[in-house]
Amino acid sequence: MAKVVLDHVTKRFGNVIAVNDACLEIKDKEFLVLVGPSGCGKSTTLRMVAGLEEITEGNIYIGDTLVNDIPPKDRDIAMVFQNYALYPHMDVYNNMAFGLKLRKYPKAEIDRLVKQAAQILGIENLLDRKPKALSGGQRQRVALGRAIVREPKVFLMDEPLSNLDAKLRVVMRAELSKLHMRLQTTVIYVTHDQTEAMTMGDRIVVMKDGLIQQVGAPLEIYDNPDNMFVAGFIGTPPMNFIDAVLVKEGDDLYVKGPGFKLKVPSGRFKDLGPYIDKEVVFGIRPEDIIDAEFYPGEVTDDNSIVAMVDVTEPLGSEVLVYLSFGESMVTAKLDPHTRAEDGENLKVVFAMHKMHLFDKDTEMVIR
Amino acid sequence: MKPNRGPVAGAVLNAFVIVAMLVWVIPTIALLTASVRPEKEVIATGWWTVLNSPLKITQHTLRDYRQVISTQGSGIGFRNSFIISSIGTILPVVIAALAAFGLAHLESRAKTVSYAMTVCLAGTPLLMTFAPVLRAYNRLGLSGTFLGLWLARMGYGLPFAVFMLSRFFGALPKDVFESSYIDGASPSTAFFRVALPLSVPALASLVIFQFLWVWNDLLVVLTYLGDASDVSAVSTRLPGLAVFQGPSWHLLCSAGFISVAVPLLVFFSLQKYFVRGILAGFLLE
Repeated sequence: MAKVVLDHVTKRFGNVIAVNDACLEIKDKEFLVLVGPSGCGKSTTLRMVAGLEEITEGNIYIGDTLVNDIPPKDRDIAMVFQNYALYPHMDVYNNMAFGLKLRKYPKAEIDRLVKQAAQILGIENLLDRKPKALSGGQRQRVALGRAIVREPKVFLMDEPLSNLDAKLRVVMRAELSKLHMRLQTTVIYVTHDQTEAMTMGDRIVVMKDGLIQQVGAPLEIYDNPDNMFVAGFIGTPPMNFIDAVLVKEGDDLYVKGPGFKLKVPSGRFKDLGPYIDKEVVFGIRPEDIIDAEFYPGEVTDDNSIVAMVDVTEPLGSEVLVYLSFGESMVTAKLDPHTRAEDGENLKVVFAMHKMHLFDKDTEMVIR
Repeated sequence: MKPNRGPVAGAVLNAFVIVAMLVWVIPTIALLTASVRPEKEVIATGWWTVLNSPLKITQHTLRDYRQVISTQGSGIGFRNSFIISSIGTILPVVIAALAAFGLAHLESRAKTVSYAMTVCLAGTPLLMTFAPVLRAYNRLGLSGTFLGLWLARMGYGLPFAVFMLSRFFGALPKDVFESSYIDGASPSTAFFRVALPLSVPALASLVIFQFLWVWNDLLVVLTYLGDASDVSAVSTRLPGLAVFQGPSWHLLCSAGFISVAVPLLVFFSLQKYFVRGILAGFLLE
């Protein structure tokens, strides 16, 4: 149980900067998720905390200890790997007991700890099996068991669910969250899957090209992304980006482009003065585009457009509709009872109080 | 992963394997048969004449074996060969395993260079080394000693052994070792408790290769040990059996079969690992 601090941490592989000046404080007992596309530096960051990669610059603290030069075994961490990394020649019991044996725990104590961990994870009946004879989900549990049996200060998890099938992943996601609640240990969790990040993290760190893009609670990041990358990465389907020009007519501001002119609600942004008559990127999430027929508020020319329905994808609970208008294409998540049909026109409302604006050059959000 | 073959290709392959097997097995059977036949018959008729009455056990005799082992001094030869081969196998395999693990899994700047040198050394012609090594041995008093031969066998065996084992270790999943480091293992613990148990197939094949080379070798043994009777190996003595007291073919057959049988025993005791081992590092799991 300890906090983890990354203080201006940089990692270079030759000329390639894998992690660029990362500053981060992971609180005690926090479940922190590092998320980003492959190659963004999230795994490297985790591996530096584990001590499996050397730090090029900066400091890492676990608890109050500077761990830069401390080998992995003395950092009091446990790690779960993507491919489980079980010892193929040992049975489940010995896989879990290995770390304790190396730390010279008494035999009875090892037995107690292993059995306790096995019971938590529901793998008591597998203890004498070799990893080869286990299913993916079972191996995953053994890998977790090996991590929790030592009761380390920090758990590091490197895409632990990515080799499981979709259904099992959902189950294990919930189990991991439960396990975290039960064990009350700091967890740093790496994933490329934004759903995992959203559902499991107390806080999320979004990374891209070695740089931390944004740190925050899941909904905070979802509702207030700092830049277009975060906005597009978190949320599925991703946020729609529409090139537009910000125009002023009377006292009102509009985002305007071919085939649409939508009113920017007053009070949504602090000061859009510098952006008037400039090109901006107008962002709107799929669920904030609503079939006009189901819109509870007033449908006006200022908040709605007529778009062509290209494709509909009914998912039961909702329908994904791909719309085109002017030069733009957007995805909308509509009520399952929508009457949208392929090739027909459909009137949709944009929930403009939830709109986002981004600077076209810097891709940063305009607040 | 079973390769998908057509029926014709399968039949051709099977026929080829059967022919190849016969080519290898028949001389061995011939040697065995001849070695148990009495002296006169060996000289008078071919080994295949036993096929006329295959069930007549009494036509066979183990007398030649007894004679080879006791009176001709070949017993010492076998003992020497065994000493030479066992240590000449174990030493390079152990050192190669350590070196290969280092090359495959430890961080070091000299890694690439030493790996490249290892591969280059594997291509050095044996004959080129005899003169300089022998001179050095003479000065150090190592020629004619087992130690000198073990060192030589190690030198000749290591490049290939290191190459093969580092390929094997390199193919073992890296995260298993990382996991062991986090679990508290030092590099040596990771080597002994994770790498070694996982590399039994590769080690077994290497043991077979190295043992065969050392056991069957004549050139290196003759160069560094000479044919002094107290240290000479079976391979040095076998030709002697054939010529010294006139051609004693019957003794040669028995001695020859023993010298074939030892590597065969080693091979059969380790064969279940063999195919897995020689394919190590060259196939994806």
